[in-house]
Amino acid sequence: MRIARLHAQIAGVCLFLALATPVLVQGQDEEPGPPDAAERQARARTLPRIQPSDKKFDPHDLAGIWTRSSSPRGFTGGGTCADCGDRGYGKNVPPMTPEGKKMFDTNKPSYGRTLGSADAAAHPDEDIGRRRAVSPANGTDPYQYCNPMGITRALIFPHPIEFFVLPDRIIQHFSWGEGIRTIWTDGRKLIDDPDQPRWWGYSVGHWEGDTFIVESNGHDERTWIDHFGYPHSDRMHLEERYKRTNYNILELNWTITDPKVYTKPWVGDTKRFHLIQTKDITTVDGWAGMMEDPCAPADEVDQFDKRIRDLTGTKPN
Amino acid sequence: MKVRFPRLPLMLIGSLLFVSVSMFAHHGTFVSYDTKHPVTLNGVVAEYHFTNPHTQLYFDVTDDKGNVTRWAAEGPAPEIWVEAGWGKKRTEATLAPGTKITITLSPARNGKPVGAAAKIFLANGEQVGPAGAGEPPNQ
Repeated sequence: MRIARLHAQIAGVCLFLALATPVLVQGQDEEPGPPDAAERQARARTLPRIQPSDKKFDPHDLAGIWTRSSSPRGFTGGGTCADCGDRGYGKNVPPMTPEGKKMFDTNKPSYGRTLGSADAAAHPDEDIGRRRAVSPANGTDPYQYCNPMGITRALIFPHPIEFFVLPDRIIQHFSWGEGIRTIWTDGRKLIDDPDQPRWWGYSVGHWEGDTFIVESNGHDERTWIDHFGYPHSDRMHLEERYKRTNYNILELNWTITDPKVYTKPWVGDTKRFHLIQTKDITTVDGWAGMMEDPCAPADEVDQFDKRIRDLTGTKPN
Repeated sequence: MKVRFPRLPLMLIGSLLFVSVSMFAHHGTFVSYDTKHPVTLNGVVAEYHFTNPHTQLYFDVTDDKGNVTRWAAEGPAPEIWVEAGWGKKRTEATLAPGTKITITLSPARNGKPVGAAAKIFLANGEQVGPAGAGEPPNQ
């Protein structure tokens, strides 16, 4: 009787472990590298996706902390939740203009398959942008020196993003790099030529039914569209369409129009975010929720870049 | 005899089991480090920095002839440690200068004594940091 009760309790715990933790695991993280990364991705695809919730929700309520991380809480060091989309803006890259190609070639990313590797050659179906990674010491990624990521890249990065809804604007606070992006919701229209380029652009938003549509321009062209180094000009127009499809799920569809760089509009891949609560992200001293996570040159450049990253270049520095 | 299974530690274990192993997605780690051929070294901590973008461990490895090599290893970002209960004070105290460690890392492809840390153990066998995170993705 006692043994039967113990077995029942053990079974209960196993069931609890299986069900209690919302399981969000790495699914479509397209970080190739060595050939056996494919095995890792195949394994990840067999794991469960975001668990929708049956809680009631207001589709016009976007406030809260949203993340594309693969952990039930906020952080995984870069892993993205299953069915949330990968780390690139979009796979169907339109042809570039001659000027766009020049900008593309100038950018030397450190993400994706290694430039010139057998791994890169084995995936000719993938755009070359995803198959030209160099060591960061030899790259030109602006974020390595703590320059702001810009909108698309910051939305892609799988760390928490807190949406603050104010009467006349929505503010997106990006945890990684402490970016702040304003979306004006006071009814103003986007002006064609803002006075200055902004790292975080000039954005206006409005509702159409249950879809929140954001348009932005005035983007500083030094940001990259994503970490694969796709460029954009200061004339880029970005349209984002947000839809809260479940209590737990926010879906983003987006399109870039930038005739200076791309000959056609670039429809990005759908991205999904899951909702986490402040109390789900914990530290050891009572701080909860969004963590302080700046890119501080004193740490990033003076310590990490100089003492570790720059030593790993693959050609003489 | 009533058997009780404390719920919170088990939930933590369950969560940790699903922690992604792709912390190396940052900073082109696949490009810089040979993640297919990790090495294990015995060393002594010289410095440790619990800072962004990656925690940094500097340690000395002495070979059979008494030559000392200063190694540098990058690890997961602080918030990942903190989320797993390893705050700055605890981690810095655990990896104080002079501490003996055994570390498995993916070495730099260019042969320099730099690596991406996967596991760190103390002399008493205790693992330092969140178990499961930081494993080279191909293991």
